[in-house]
Amino acid sequence: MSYAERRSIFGLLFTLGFVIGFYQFMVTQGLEQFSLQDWGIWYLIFFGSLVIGRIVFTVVHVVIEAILIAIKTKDEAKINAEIQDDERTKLIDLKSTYHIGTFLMLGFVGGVVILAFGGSIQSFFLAMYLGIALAGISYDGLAIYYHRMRGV
Amino acid sequence: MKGSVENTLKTHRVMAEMTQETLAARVGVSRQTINAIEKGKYLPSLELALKLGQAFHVPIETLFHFKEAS
Repeated sequence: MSYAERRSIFGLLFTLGFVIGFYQFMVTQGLEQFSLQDWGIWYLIFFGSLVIGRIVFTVVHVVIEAILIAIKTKDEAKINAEIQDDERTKLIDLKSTYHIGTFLMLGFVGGVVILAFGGSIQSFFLAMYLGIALAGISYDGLAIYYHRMRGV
Repeated sequence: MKGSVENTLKTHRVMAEMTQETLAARVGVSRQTINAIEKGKYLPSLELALKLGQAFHVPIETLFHFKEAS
């Protein structure tokens, strides 16, 4: 299994854990009583912590991978070759982003439909939250699929 | 015109007594990319195809050829 595959698998687990954990945290903070302003604040916290968390996670993962490879080999060229993104990895990354927009749009449209049928503002934001979660999951999920099964 | 691109990369690599890892390091990609090319799961860029040709001192049409669907 390549470094890029492991990164996608751990990325998927991170995204899953983060969106489920953040949802649970919002529930404990009284999600049912959130005002529009509360939703704005919580969404900003969500996006900020997701981006920062993902960057920190990626950096830590690269460092751990480099240490593990360095234990096996002292050859710096081999370490760099193992953890570099080559043209195939970049293409897989690009193709994995194809459905992010689709899920984000589905989340938004789903939320609007819920509002149109008399649903609460909570349902609208939760539908968008689900769309964001699925977009994140689809990115890493598709990367794993292209790496392990289909090829590009 | 329908068909697929086939390659003889594995044959050339084995004949040159190279491992996938050695070849990957020589052309600057990961071992998994060489494996994917050999299995026909990935079509390399023109640049990488030229580098592979250089690695074996052969023109790229020796390594890659288009096979028409019958």
